[in-house]
Amino acid sequence: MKVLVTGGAGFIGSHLVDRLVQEGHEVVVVDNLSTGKRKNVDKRARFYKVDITSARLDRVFKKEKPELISHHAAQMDVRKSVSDPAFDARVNLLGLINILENAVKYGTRRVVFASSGGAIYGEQNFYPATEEHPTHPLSPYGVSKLSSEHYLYYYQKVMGLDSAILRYSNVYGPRQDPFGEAGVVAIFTKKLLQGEQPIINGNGMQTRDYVFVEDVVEANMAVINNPINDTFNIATAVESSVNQLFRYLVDITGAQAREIYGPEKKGEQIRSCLDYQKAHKVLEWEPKTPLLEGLKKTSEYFREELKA
Amino acid sequence: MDDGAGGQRVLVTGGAGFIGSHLVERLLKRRRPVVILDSFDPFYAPSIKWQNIDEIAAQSGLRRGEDFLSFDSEALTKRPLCTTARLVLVVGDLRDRKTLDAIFASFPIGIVFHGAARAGVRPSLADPLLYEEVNVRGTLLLLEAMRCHDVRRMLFASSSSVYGGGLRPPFREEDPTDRPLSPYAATKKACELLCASYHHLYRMQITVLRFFTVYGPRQRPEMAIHKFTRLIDEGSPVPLFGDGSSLRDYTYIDDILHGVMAAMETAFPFEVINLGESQTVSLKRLIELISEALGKDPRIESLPMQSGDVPLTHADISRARRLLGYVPQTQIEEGIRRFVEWYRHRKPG
Repeated sequence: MKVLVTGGAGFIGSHLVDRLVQEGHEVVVVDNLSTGKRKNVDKRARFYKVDITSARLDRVFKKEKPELISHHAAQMDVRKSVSDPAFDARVNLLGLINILENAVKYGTRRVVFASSGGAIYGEQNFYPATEEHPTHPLSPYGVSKLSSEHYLYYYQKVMGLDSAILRYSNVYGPRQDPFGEAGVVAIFTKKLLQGEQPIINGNGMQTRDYVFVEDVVEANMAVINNPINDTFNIATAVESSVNQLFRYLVDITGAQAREIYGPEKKGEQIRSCLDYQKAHKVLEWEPKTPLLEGLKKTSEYFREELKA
Repeated sequence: MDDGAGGQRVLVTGGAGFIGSHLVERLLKRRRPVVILDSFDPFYAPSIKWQNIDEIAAQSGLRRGEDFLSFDSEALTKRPLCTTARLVLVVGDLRDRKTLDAIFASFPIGIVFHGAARAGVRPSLADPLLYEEVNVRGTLLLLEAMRCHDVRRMLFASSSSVYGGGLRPPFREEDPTDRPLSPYAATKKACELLCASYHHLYRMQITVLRFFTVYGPRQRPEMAIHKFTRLIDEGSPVPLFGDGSSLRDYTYIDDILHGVMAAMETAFPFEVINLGESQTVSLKRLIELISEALGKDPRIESLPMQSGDVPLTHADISRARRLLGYVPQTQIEEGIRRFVEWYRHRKPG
């Protein structure tokens, strides 16, 4: 199948590209390399350095006519969305609309969209949050992700473009960007490997549901191979505190570091964890990588990166 | 949400006892404020438990009346309490619903470590009704109180005895646990089942920890290692049940605490995890090691195997390693040595 992966030079996208190429799909990548890296892109994929908001996207679609789009390109820095909500809306909403209009025009059958559970459910009423949990995003980033889902619904019902939505919890792993949602993993790992002292915001008891990127890729493959139009949380339902993350990474990296606490970040979510039973039942997917194992692999990656 | 003591509190039931008191010390060291609920039940001398409490206060540098307060349940239920004291001791019974409600109403509890129980396999044969009342009904009352006050997390102290007899070692968490050999073991399994249903119904995040014969400083006096140490030290005969070949997976308290602290930091939806040393020691070898450490010869008294006892325990700890990063460090030789050293310091006179 011909698959277009937007954001395919980025953290999650590039891992997905690897897997799709491995499975024998014909892969096209669109990425403006604002945060992605060209070297992340498998050489067997066709690469276009194009911004998803740009009119040049039309030419890519006209030439390639992808059957399926995996849309991972986004503005994913929550703090940036707060300081520049218009920029966030431009990339995340106008960029999405550009992709969907082209998809309809050039006959793409289906879109798989990377949404964000953590950002959409806000501070939860119950834990873990199922897909039915009320959505009250607390950042422009969360709003643009939720609005994207509404656009997809419209395009599906009215324009006949099938779509599946994956709401990720906090994805971490090799190639991770420190500015993304689970950035703390990348930030701590890099600092500890370089003998620096990371600062833990607040009391470190804030929790997140960390899901390893390889498991997220498997979820993408499961939904690509299952032609169902629905929304799925992709997560582990396990909450880990920042303190625990720190302790694991200190063990793994062998760094000499103690917990040092700094001021809490205003508006930072206190707890987050998502229920994945729907994905388990319908897609037969479950996360396979416990946090400790995922952090070991992540740490190995950053160790190699820092050598280079 | 906290009361100024530094975040949501941890409620440790049985916090004046062996495992509980060590856990309280660890938590206070990590700046987590604690509420202890303990009834100071005379199953073994309450004075020992009060000594544990004194040691906690001394170890953690707490001043009574300032950052360490105690209440009995009557005082607590009479009026709502507000305090920033890092350690609050409630002297009360798990079976008293009013006490539990008063605790949850007075303090913002983030997680409960439920260690309070009637322990010991053999006494449960003599008084099974009491074991059911404290262990099962008490746990259910606690779960109900948690549900009413929206306290969502629990670590439950379960036991290797749930594995019964006849399983091939090492025991894995998914092995059948339907044939407990004693009322004690049955009550622990019953609690696990209640926890599972409360998780399902009310989305409580509960981790069941199956402890494999914990030993170390403050071990209960009737438990094998403590008892044998005392008997050998006093020159009294040591009862050897069966031919001494029964095998146990003894787990040193420090290793258990690492596992518990890791489980505290991660909220699993519902998980059952063995915490053991994953090494087996025969009864005969145990007695040898204790004698060596004491420098005294044992006087052995051979007796038949006891009912209710399991012939073997041996933990498979791969799940604990995967999910908690649990790696036990203490070999039995070192653990016994450290226990005997503690015993020498502690004994009266």
